[in-house]
Amino acid sequence: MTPQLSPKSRRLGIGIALLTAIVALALAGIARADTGNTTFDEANRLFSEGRYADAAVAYETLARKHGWSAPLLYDLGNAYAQEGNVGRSVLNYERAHVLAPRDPDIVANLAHVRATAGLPIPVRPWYQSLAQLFTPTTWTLFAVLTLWLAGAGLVATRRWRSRRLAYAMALAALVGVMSVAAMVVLDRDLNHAVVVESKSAPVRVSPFDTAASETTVSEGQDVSIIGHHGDFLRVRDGQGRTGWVQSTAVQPVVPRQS
Amino acid sequence: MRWNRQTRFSLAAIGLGMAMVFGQKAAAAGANPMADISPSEIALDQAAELRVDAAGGHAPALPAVDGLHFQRTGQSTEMTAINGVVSQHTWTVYQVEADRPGSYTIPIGGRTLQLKVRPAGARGASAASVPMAGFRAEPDESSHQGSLALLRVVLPSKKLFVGQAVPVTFKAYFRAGTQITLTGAPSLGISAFTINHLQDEPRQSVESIGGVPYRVVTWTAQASAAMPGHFATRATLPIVARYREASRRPAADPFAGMLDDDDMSSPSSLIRSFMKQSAFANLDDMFGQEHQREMTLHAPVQTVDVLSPPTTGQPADYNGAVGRFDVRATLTPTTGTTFAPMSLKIEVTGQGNLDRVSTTGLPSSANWKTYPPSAKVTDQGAKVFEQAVVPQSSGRLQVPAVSFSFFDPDRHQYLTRSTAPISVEIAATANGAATPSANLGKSIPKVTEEPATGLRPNHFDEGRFVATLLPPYRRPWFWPVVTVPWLALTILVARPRERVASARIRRRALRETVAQHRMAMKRAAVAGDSVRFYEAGAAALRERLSETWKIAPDEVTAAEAAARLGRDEPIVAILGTAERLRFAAAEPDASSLARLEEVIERSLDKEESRT
Repeated sequence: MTPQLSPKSRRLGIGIALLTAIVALALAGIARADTGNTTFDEANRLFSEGRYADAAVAYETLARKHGWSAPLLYDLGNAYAQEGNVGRSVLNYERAHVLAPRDPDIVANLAHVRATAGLPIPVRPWYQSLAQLFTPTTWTLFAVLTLWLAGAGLVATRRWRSRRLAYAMALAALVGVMSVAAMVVLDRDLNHAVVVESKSAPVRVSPFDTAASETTVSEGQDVSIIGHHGDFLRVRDGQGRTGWVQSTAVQPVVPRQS
Repeated sequence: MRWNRQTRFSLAAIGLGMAMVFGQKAAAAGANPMADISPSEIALDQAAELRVDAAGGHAPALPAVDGLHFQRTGQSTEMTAINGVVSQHTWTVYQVEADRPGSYTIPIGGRTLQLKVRPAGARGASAASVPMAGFRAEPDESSHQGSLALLRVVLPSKKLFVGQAVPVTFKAYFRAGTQITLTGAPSLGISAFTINHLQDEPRQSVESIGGVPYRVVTWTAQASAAMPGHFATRATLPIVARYREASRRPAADPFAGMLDDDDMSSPSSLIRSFMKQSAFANLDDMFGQEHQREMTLHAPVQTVDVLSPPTTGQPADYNGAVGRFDVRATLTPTTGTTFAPMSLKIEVTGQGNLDRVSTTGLPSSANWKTYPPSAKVTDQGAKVFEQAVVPQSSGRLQVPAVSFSFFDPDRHQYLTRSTAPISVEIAATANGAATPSANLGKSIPKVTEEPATGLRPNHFDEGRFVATLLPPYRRPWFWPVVTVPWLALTILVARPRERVASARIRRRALRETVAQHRMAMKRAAVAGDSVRFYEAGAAALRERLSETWKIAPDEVTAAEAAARLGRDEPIVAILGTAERLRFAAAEPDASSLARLEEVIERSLDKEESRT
């Protein structure tokens, strides 16, 4: 049975569609329009000529001027990798991976640099791998849209009492909840992920320069922040070891301020 | 004393073995050394096989013949049983190669053998000439008749160039009835050679050799030498063989005598081989046990000379390709726009080792900005290089010819092939200079070959830029953007409901008010109080009509009613009378109250049903 829409219901539908469009546009507006790739071409040219340090500077300049993109961060990672700067190479591959989680080139080069540098490969549980199918922005868009659809469906079912409508609303709600779960998983991972940028950073037993060093973390190693005190961050490595490192020794994968 | 069958069989085998051993010694005592060469005519790049009877295990010394080289390749043994007398011939096998064409005489064992060597490439009269030194494509009937498994390798030439791809054929012969399982692929046995395109599914056929049927498994592949030098092939094929062994005899390898010539001198091997080939074979199988053994077949050794392509006359752009190739180029799309990337495809076809075919593509110039090409080998056996080229100016531009050099092993010279220049019309972009990055990303072919560092290559499409990597929900604008529309939606849904609720309440209040006025009117009519009657009736009408006309009750006057309903409407007169009573103290006629009440009631019912 196809429910007949009254003029009021039609107005309601138009209102929902308009609001959805506004939010979609707002979310899409996160991404800026591209800016002409003169500098990007120039940086690629420097890279192809083997001037990796100059290419890295050019990519960094472009990022400061126009923001970040997955190819830019990937190429920047390549430039640092060619230069032998493992820390920055891994950091930029990780950042590129945030924007393009399914790009096989990023994954391959990240694995290659880690393997070459003898760094441990982070082992992610299945739900984290699942959450990394899409970017945080995509999951957010999924969550907002599906939960809105579920809300609209809830209103509609009170008026029309259609079983099909109820199923659609339940499905939308399920996808919405799953999207929120994926957002939470990704956020827990990204919000705490940092990459060691120093050649070697001592891991101290307490947040003081004079404290004893238990071990060190290597350049390019991924660690998670689990606390902070002054200029020190309490971190945990892939093997579950914890300790304090200087905050200047690491760089967050997702910076708070860009 | 009665002997059982197994005991009788064992005694018979021992007696036969003793007869063979003594027979062998007797034959050795009176043997005349024999020798033969096959074929008697070869090309200069081929070799012949010389067999010398090594009676008693001692082969006679080979003579020194000017222009000929002898290389020992192995030993073979023949057994013959005639009227119960077993004789054995052990042959030492040599590979004979010549330095120059001509006729040679080889004096050996009291005999004189003739070998004719014709120039390389010349076709001789003998149809039995072998394709490669010392090896036949088919097993030699005389030496291998009765063998259970054999391996042969066929190469088209014994002189190759580094990088030259030549077809190679492996043929394995298994005597019919033998249970063989292949456990691996055949190998040429030279680390300097690479084998490509080896068939996963070898061809199988049946051939009869000396009346004995053989199952023949044939692989074809492409061999290519990676370095210069003088090499000897040691082709192998791993197999698992299942065979029956007599229960009273040790379970030794019955293939040893067939596959390893040196073991043939062992009497036990001879007995086992003989039993396999004799009329006792079935009897032996009847009482034997089945065994399974992994082993490796070895092909006879042959030598190959690998030469480096000459340095004289080598083109500057030569990258090691050996063969015979053609090259052509296409540009897509056929028209372009300045700074919009186009795809240049350079296709190399022909015969040779495509792995060594490479090109740097079109170099950058004032008119063309180019990127390193990617390469792939198509199913049709061509190598296609795809290169992104970006026109830097407008007008009719020409993509210059791209040249490709290779060494032709047949002509022994370097050749250079070039693509035809491509003329293309390039339109200017609207602003004349800006690079349309969106097109750039879509059109540039992705470089698929990994550079030497192991890193995958750069991306050329700059992608979509974002100001921050922070997820949307961690940015300040997100929650207002999400919550405000939710609130708006809630209001949108809630407001009409509220409006409906208030209208319902108002209607109910109106009904109650009108009902009170009607009740008062009825009571006044019963009491004959005309003043109260008109007041209550007019009040009821005003309330009801104000709802219908959407005006305030005080605005419902006789004039308004006359304007809306016409002066002849009875309620106009009623309202007029009521107004006069409000402003002038008069006593209206009470005789017609019942009729007026009916008029008012009818009017009220009519209006109420309308709303």
